[in-house]
Parts: sequence; C-alpha cells; structure tokens
Amino acid sequence: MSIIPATITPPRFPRRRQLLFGTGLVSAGVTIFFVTLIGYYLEARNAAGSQWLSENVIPLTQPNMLLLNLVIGSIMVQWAVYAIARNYRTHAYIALGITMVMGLAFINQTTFLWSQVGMTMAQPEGPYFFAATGAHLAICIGAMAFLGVMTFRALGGQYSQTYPDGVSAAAMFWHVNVALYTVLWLAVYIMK
Amino acid sequence: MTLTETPPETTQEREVIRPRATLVEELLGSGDHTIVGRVYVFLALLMGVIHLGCVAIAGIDTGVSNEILDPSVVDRFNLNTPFGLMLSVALPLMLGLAICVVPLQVGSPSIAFPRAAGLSLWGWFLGSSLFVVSMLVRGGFGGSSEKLGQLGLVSIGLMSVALMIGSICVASTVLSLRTAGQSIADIGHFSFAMLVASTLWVLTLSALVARIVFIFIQHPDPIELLDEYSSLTWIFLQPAIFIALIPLLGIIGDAFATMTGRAMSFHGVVQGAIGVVGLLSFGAWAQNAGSRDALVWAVLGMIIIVPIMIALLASAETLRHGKPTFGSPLVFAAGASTLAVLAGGMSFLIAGNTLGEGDIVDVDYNALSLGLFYLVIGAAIIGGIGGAVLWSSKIWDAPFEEKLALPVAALAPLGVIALAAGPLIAGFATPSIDDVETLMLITGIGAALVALCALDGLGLIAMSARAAMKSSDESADSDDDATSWSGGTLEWAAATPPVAGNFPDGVPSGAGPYPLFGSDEKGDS
Repeated sequence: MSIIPATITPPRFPRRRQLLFGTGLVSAGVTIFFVTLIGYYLEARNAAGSQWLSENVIPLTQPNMLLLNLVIGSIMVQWAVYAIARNYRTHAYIALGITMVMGLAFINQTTFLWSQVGMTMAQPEGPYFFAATGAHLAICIGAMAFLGVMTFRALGGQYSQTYPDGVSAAAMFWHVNVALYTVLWLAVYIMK
Repeated sequence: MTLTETPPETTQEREVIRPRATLVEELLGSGDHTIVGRVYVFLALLMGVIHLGCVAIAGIDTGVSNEILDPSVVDRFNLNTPFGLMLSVALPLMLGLAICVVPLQVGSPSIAFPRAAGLSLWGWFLGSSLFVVSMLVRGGFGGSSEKLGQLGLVSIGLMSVALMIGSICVASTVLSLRTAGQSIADIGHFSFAMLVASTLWVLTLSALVARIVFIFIQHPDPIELLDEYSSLTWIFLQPAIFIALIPLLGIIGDAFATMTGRAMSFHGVVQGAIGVVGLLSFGAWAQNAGSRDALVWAVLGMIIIVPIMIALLASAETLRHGKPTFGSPLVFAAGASTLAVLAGGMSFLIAGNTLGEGDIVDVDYNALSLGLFYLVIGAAIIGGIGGAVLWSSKIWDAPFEEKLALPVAALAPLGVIALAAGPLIAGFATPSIDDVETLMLITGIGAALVALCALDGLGLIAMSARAAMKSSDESADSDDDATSWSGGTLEWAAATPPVAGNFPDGVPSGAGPYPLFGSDEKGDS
C-alpha cells in the first residue's frame, strides 16, 4: 500500500509556449502561401498539357540532393533540440551549425539547379516555376535566419534546459520548410 | 579561482534615471499594447473616412452630374475602395481593438510579441498610406501608370502581411498568456472571436499575398493588372468575406452581457457558434470562378447564417433574464446584429441561387456580392466603433461621451443599409441607366453617412483625450457626460485609466468566464 504524504509538492503549471504558438501560426500562414503557389503551378500545367516544359529539362539529381540536404538538416536540428533540453550545449551548437551548413548548401544547389534548367520569366512556365521554387527558397532563408537568431541567443545563454523554447520553435519552422520542399519536389520536380 | 557568482554590489538595486520619452518616441517605439491598439483604431477610422469618402464622392457624382470627376477616376475608386475598406478599415479596426482589449480580457500584463505588434501597426500604416496615394494618383487597379499600379499592388501585400503579424500577436496572447486557471472556454467572447478570426486572417491573407506575389513578379502593365483584378476579388466574396464578421459576434456577445450586468446563459453555445462561423468562412480554396459554382460552395454559403443566428440569439437571450441598461453599446450591438443577420440572409440567397443546373432566378451576381460586401464591412465598422465605446474607459484615458456616441449608434446602421441598398436592388432588378444613377446616389449618400460616423468616432477619441487632459488639471470641471460601463469579465478589473502592466492590484481569481460577477449575476441562484 502506498501512502501519499501530507506535504506533497503541488504540480507546476505547464510552461506557456508563447514562441511555439507564434511559430505555429506563422507556419500555418507560410504553408497556405506556398500551397497556393503550388496550386497555381499545377493548374497552369494541367491547362497547358503536353506543351508544359517542352523547351526545358529539369534534372533529377539536384532536386533529390536538395531533399537529402534538408532531411539531414531536420535530423540535425532535432538533435539540437534534444541537446539543449539536456544542457548538452556543445552538441547543440554543433547540431545547429551543421543545420546552417545544410541550409547554405540548399541555397547554393537551388541556384545551380535554376541555371541547369535554363528557364526564363518570358516563357509561359517561367512565372509559375520561379514563384514556386523562389518562394520556397525564401522560406528556407527565413528558416535559416530564425535558426541563426536562436543560435546566437542560445550562445548568449538565453536558452537552456529550463527554457529551450527558442530552439524548439526554430526547429519546428525548419521541419515545416522541409515538409513544404517535399510538396515542391513531388509537384514540380517529380511529376513533371 | 573561478568566479561563478555575480559580485553582490552589482545586484543591489540602483536608481536609474532615464530621460523621459518624447511623444514621438512613445508613439513610434512603443510596444505597450494600449498605445499600439489606440493608434491602430484611430488610423483605421481615419482611413475609413478617406475610403468611404471616395465611395461617397464616386456614388454622388454618378448619381447627380457625372461632371465632378473624370469617369476613369470613378472607375478607379470603385475598383480600389473594396481593398481599402477591408484591409485599411474593417480588419485593422478590429485588430486595434483586439490589441487593446484581449490582453485585459485574458488577464495578461501585455500582448505577446509587443515589438511585432508595433511592427504590424507601422507596416500596415505605411501600406495603407501608399495604397491611398497610388489610388488617388493614377495607380492601383484601373490606373494608367505602370509603376503606381505596381505600388498599389505592393501596398495591398504590405497591409496583408502587417495584419497577419498583428493577428499572430493577438492569437498568441490568447493561447499562451491567459491568467493561471483560465481555460480557452472561459475567456470573453471577444477574445475567443479574435482567436478564431486571427487564425482565419492568417490563413486567408497568406493566400491573397501568394496571388499578389505571383502577379507582381510578372511586372504587369496597367492593362494586365486590370485583367488580374478578378483573381483577387475572392477575398470580397463569400465565404472569405465573413472573416470580417467573426470579431463582431464576440463584441456583440460581450456588449449584451455587460449592458445586462449578467452572465451569458449560453456562453459555450456562443463560443461554439463563433467557431463554426470561422470554419465556414475559410475561403482561400474558392479563388477560381469555377470553384464558386461547386455544390460545396453553395452549401457553405447557405448554412453560414445558422451559426450567426445561433450566436446572436444566444447573446440576446441574456437580455431576457437581466435588466439591460440603455446605452450606446447596446444600440451599436443591436444595429450590428441586424446587419449581420441581413448579411447571412443575403449569403443564403446568393448561394442558394446557384444550386441546380444554373441560376434559379436571374440576378446580377456581381452586384449582389458587392451589396453583401458592404453589409459585412459596414457591420464590422459599426461593431468596431461600438467596441471602442463599450471599452472606452479601459482603452482611453477618459471614457467616451455618451451624447456623442448615441447618435452614431442610431445613424450608422441606416447608413450601411443605404450603402448596400444600391447594389442589392440593382442585383435583383434590371435597372435602366436612370435607375442606376439613382441607386448610385443612394449608395453614395449611405457611404457619406457611414463616413460621418467614422468621423464622429475620431471626434470621440479627440474629446476623450481632451477630457483626460482636463481631468489632470485640478482646476478643471469634471465631465459629467462621459459614461463607463462595468461587466463580469477580467478586463473590467483592469486599472482605469489604463496603466503599464494593466493589473496593478493583481488579476482577480475566480472560476468561469465571469469571475467579477456574484452568484446572482452568474445565474447560480
């Protein structure tokens, strides 16, 4: 039989996750923004039929590597969340650094992919293609900026085991970024 | 030796003398939710006077002489003012009110992300100002200048992004800064409505921004920009237009409970109905004309009146049990309720008419949709002014004067009905050219009336500021005409006039949505 002591410690109120809620709402807005652009792309492609991308070739190597980049970044950023929640600060900094490198590699490879595709805005597909891929690049840069700010704040000691929200929020936005790229990869690069 | 603790002398409190912030610094750099919200409300009303003035001038000119303005200017006003009325007036008015009231209603000392709230205000004001400039000088939709046309487009995007940032601040406040022990179900109607509305605004405006980005990267000339106009009008049509009505339902609920001095009998029902209106008003999927012929669109448009009626009837039921105090907030709430019901009914008729193989009755769908737009936006403006009057003692340094607020409350619904009457009559009948001119005149007069009401709202704010300055001067007489109300939700426990931190004596504890009411007022007996 267990006895409950009379001086039991009252439970703590759950931490209010202001930054996580804010990031969740931003992520929802960004998702609708991006999905709308993908919708325009798919609608135009459906209307154009076989004429779509008749003058250009989209290679598969770069899009696949881009996806791999982002997925590795996702694993790394989650490692950072795990590490900061346990005060393994060195691990957290390494993980955040690798994620940033993955992001930089993504930017580099996306611009290389654009040069390989050789599309121009004057083509009928141009505005749709660049709106979708450019918007995702902007989202990725936004995710990196968010991650960068949170990294510097973590370096300044603002985030730790007792309050890891900033790193968690940046990680959440990075995961959304990866999920949106998966939609782009499937809709634009795979289902040509 | 490693020093791990801060030397004791540095932890002692020292008196820090900081220079007093100037008015400009306080205005531009403030993250105080009361200041940000006040400025939002003031500027939204100012924009309301400008945009409603443009509608009035265009309508009266068409109806009377057709000689004051060039026809291209009238066309430009007619094309651009709907964007202005929605993004420069109705939504920011509600958002400003929410930035002021929601932290008080959830017992929070501040708004979430206060600097983002300030960024939202000034970003919106910049976008709004650029939009007015582009509309007035050959830009916007229907203008002749390519650069100014693109400026108009960018300013719509800027306003949308700024409103989204403000919405995220408000929603995060409700989600994360509620006082200990207060559940989402226990918050006031306005806070709950703003949680729903903010989420919907983020989801809807982001789709609008996507279209604007897509148009902008093509660098359209004025003709191409005009061709793209129809791809943006879904925001004025049902179901998306109802996102402007959601906060109004919360204001009406809180106004009825406050003016009756009694807890809402069906608090949960009203919250649920507001949530359902939110679900039904998500309209980003209905951007194409083809999607607005679908059965789903027609059904959603028809049933949205049901939760609106439930929310309004459940709110009004409180009047039956309590002893309502006659005052301008009650008149505002009654007028706005009438307009909300009319809007729901019009949505039912428009959507129902598209069922089946084709239109059941031969109507002008565009004209009816414009009438519905005016009804919803007019109701939102009236609700916003009504909310500012209801919570005036908690927002401004002195409560509003009842003798100035009451005429607005009575006149504004009539103005909105006249504003919407022109397009609605034109939609059902097929008017001759002379009749069209008469209908445009009616619309212009209605717009002028609503603009006068917005002007009166600005006057109320100015009088309040003057009264506050007077009251700080001991030799001045107190103003007997100012009236402040009192209710059962947490905002009524905040300091009057507002102070930094909102609750200097702490947030009162109590169960349920009306912790300040006694058991009799809660209906427990």
